Amino acid sequence: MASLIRLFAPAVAFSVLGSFLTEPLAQVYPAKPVTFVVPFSPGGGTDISARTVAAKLTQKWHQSVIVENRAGAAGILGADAVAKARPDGYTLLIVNVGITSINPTLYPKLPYDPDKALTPISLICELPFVLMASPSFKPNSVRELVAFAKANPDKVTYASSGQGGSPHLTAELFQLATGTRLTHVPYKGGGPAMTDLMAGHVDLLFASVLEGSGHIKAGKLKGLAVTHAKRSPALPEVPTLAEAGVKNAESGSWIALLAPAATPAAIIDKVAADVKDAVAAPDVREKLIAQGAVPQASTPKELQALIEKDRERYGRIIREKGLKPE
Amino acid sequence: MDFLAHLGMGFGIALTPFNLMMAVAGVMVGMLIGALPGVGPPSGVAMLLPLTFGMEPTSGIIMLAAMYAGTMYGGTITSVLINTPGESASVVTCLDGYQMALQGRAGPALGIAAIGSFIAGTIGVVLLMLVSPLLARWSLSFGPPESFALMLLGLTTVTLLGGDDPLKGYISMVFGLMLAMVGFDIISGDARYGFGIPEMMDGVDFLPVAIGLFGLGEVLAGAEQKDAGSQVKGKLRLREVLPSLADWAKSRWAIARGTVLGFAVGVLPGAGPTVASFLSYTVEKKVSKTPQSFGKGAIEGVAAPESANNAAATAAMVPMLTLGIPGSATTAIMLGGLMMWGLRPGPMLFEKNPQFVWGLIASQYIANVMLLFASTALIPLFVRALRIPYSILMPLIILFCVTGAYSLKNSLWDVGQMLVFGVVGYFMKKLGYSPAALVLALVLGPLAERSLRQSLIISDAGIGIFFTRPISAVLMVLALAAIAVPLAKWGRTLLSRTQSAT
Repeated sequence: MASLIRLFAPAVAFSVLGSFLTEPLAQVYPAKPVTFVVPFSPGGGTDISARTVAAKLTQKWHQSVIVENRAGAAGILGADAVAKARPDGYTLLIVNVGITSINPTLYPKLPYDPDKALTPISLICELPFVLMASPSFKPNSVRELVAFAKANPDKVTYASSGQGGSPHLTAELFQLATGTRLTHVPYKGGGPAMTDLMAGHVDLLFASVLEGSGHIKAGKLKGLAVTHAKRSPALPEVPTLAEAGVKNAESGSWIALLAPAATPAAIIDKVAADVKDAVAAPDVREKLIAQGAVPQASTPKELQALIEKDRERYGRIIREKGLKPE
Repeated sequence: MDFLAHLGMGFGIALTPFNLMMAVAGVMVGMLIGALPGVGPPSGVAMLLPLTFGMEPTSGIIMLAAMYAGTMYGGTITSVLINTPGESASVVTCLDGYQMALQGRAGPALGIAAIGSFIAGTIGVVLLMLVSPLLARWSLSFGPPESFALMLLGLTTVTLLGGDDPLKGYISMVFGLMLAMVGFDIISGDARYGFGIPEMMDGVDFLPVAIGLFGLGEVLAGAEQKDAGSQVKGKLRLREVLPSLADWAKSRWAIARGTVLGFAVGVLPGAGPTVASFLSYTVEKKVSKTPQSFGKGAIEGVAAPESANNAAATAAMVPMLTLGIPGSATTAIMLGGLMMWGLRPGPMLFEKNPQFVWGLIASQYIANVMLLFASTALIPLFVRALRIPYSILMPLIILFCVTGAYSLKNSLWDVGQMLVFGVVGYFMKKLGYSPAALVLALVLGPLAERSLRQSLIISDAGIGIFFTRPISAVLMVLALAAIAVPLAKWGRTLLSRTQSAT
């Protein structure tokens, strides 16, 4: 018996010590200001969502949550900075679907290992896309569009915010699912693409519900379908792709929080729980919905699964089409 | 007179003590931020954006709009005083503004810039108010072919940007265009001249290049001079600090032309204040009776681009307010702010949030008045900076250049880029190549390439698209004429020379 105790004692002591070490760690965290690195320019959708959640966490933690923008190279520069930051929970990374699930396939040589350098914390929100047509474009529904595009292969043009971005890949998914061939006209950012769509220089555009809903409601653009599983509260009259008869083309972006890989699990769990509370808070929810987003937190595991699912899906498109980044 | 009632309401909102205070604070902070090279209007607005989130949306946007006007002017201060563009739309101001400073006329240069900005800003707001819907339609008629034709026309003006030898102007331009090729190919996505470096993927950012070429290049060239005492010869008296009547007579029409051109270009998607400032400078040189004085301290060379960039900055709000689409990098960030406040930008903004829109328009008037007072009051102070001995000023300028390049994106890469182009700028200056031509090509190159290739995708590779659309056709003819006429002249002189030789 005594020998048994002696056998287990160190293990027990170790685990007690272990919990002693991690418990206070999570309890005192955050003991100083936390930085959210946003790897894009200020004012974009990702930046605004990050700031909304950061403001809530600042209230909750009584510590400032600072949003730092490190834009450049499709988010790679900012992601790399966090991947190489001290894994102490004080430097975290805001990502969208592009960084975790598109860049690893699109850029064969990332400066960090996308599988090992970062670890998921929680989803923040989903950003569904909407397929829009120029007012001068003849087809008025997805069904008419598919018929028209099949009769005129390569004649229908679609704009995108850039080569290899999630709106572009969504359009590729759409072509694959409908068996159509459209011509891609890449722009630099969603704004110029939207302007040219409105003027009828191009026929179609996939963009976030946030960017598109105002124009659709004002009758300046035709909303054909949303790419989410459910209709958007901002555009209740626009059907989903599935309702419009297109299966397996659901798409969209999402925004999430990651940490450097070696960040203690206790901190990851604490931040995940607090982000969940923040996203569920009525004022944050309201702000995110006003931005056309669907507020949605997750556990680290769920986020990991989402990252992998989307990486698989977009990766297949990128390889099949031989796409390269812009 | 529906809009007068609206405007009255707008002033009622903008003139509350708190909002007035926000406008003053915005202008002041903007001038400070703009004076730091690298931190231009987009990053300035971005830095202040979070501060405004706690405010009423109207107060917030008033502060941002005032700051926008302030940064536009702040960038001019460093361009004139130390040849270092504070932000991109002030690059071209260096050409004549700094020459004026060297002649002891920094005061009039800054003064005329303030007056030009005030006039252009005010007229811009009036136009914004009266003809926004019409302008929105004009901006929509600019598709990829029209954009390309405009950029091409812009590139042909390159020989007007200083340097006595047109050939050297073209060489600088080609160098700039080559730099503009760095980064991902927009259509195929192939990495071009990137050497596998992530920082090179987005291409060469032109602001660190401009800071290096102008600011650091000037310091390096200045360091050679042996008696580098005070930079400016002669004394500065207060009465010489403001523009004289003769200056005003020379600048009047330059300001008028700059305003109109700046506004027209500013409304267009993708063009913006920087392109407007370059174009108006070249137009001014073209119509001038004394084009040889440009680049040697011509006051019109400061008045025109400074008016144009302010008019363009105001015009960039047209697409934002009428279509809900940002017309420039700065308005894109402001639009982000609108969304943060839960205002949905778009064609309905005028109807749904009139107090917001008209408060903004009224605050633009107020911001312009503030800017005029603040800048003229502070000019003597700024000008005094030139009395600092060059041996002290020089390290300060280098410090300015380095912090400016760094603060652009918090990136050391940009600092390195700035240093390299400082050395390049030194040699260009020594050998008589025009750094402005290089910067212009670097600004216009990516825009021209993108719109060219978009046009060709849309037309299925037929170049007819540039000539069958009316606006594009006119611009193309102008551009081709601008290339052909000097070539023909050159050919004729060459021909007559060979004939006289035989």
